[in-house]
Amino acid sequence: MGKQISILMVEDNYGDVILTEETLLDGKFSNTLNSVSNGEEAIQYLEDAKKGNGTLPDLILMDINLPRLNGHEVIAYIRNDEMLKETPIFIVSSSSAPNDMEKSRPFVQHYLTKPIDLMEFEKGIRKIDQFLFSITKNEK
Amino acid sequence: MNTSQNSSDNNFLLKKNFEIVSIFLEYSNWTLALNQVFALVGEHVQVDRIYFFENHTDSLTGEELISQRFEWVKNGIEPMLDNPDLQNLPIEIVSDFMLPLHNNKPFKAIVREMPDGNTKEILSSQDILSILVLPIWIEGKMYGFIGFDDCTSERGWGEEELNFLQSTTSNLSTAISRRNAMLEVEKKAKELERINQELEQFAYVASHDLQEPLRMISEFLKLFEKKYAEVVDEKGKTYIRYAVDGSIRMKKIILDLLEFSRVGKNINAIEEVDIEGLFDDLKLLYINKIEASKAEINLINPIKLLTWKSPLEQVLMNLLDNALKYAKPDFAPKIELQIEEQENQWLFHFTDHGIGIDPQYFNRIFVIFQRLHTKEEYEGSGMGLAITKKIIENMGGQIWVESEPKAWTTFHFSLPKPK
Repeated sequence: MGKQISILMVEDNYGDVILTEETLLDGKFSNTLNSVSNGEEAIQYLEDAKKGNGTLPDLILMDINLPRLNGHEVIAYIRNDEMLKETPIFIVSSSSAPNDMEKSRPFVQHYLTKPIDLMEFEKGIRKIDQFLFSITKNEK
Repeated sequence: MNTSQNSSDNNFLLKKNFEIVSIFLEYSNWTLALNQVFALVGEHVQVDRIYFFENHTDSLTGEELISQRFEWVKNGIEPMLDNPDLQNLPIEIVSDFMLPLHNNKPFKAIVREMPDGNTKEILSSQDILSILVLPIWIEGKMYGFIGFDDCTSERGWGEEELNFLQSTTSNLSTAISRRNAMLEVEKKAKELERINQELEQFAYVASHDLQEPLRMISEFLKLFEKKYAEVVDEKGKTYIRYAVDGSIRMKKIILDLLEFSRVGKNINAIEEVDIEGLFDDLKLLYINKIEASKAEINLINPIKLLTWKSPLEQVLMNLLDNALKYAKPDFAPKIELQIEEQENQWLFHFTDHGIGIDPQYFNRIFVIFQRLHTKEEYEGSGMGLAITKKIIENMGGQIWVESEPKAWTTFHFSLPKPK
């Protein structure tokens, strides 16, 4: 059994968190999924994790339309943080706001539309393989 | 111009009147027309000032007021148009006029001979020696009046002069009601446009915001079906399938509504469109349906034309989709597109040999959410042709239908050539 991918999902709709959890269960990567429901909580979670209080994520799934701090702001925070700036980010959004996503293109690794499709997710994972070379595949 | 006092010449007056009517008819610019007409009349009857007052009521108190709206003055006479005293006057100030005017009769007077009072005072203050006032009646109401001032002589107004001025005034009444009707139409058109925009905005927001909760319903139903298949009996599974089916149809409706509200929002530049290439792309898109039904699809004249590509593609796609869907059962669909070039437009004729449409439904099929079949017979949101019509009208064209039930249907649509 290899190391698990630790995923942080920033998503205000808890239904989507559950759906994502279920989808990823069927995938070939073993994972733990933590979720926070807005931009402020995301930064709080990451700050705590940096101090050893929780797991630093290997991958962040980020919704853009978030209450309080929006996704773009959280992405800016992550990319400017010494410890976090290499963490891959996938944007997860509803299909209806393509322009909204364009803004973050240079700062993120992959885009997913809701509901998350497993094949699309794994395509993203392969893209960021170089970031995750330490993670061994978990043959179920 | 004849400035002689030869006002007894009937032909001459008729000619003047004719000129006046043409001015009112020709000029869409109101001020310009009034200026022309008043100058013509003023010079002809040799008066010093002509003005038009409108009756109105104070929106707060309901008091009856009059205001000067337009004025012409002879050279050397002091204009009164900017005189603030001539705006929002209580009607009593000219009470002497009112009785005859309300009886649709002229008021004429030599100011010196008038009884003392408000009216005499205000006329004297403007150096008016002699005055003629004619009412303007529109739709059975006294709308206002026209006044003619003589500041140089105490003239008595002759009958022919009076007739001429009365017919001028009646022409003006007609012109005013025409103008009011026009303004009303413009106002209505603006109002309609605004409502339309609001509706589109509403449709966009509603359909956009409905997508999220709907996705929750359908995704969790699917998840439920997948994970609890063993503990749910056949009846339960049927119920879930109905619910999933309903949410899928609703999703289609929402997407169509979203598309309907977006038509015309992102119109691209006009380009040369190769109809054959476009048609081939569409056939590729429907390759499964076409092969399964052995459909025969013909493009009669593969031309190139200048137009907006993606809306045209969308229109042809919707028509092809319908033609494949409403084919005669057990017959291979036969579909045909013919394009006719006319002087200012292209005419498209899209014919299928399908189930046809009863003529009584020709208008209904283009209306949003109108369907002629149950969802068990033919699936669909009832928006395809509404979207199609909106796209075509957005490009400046029109769409209509001809059909023989149980035999064929032809959708005709026009696309104007770019200027």
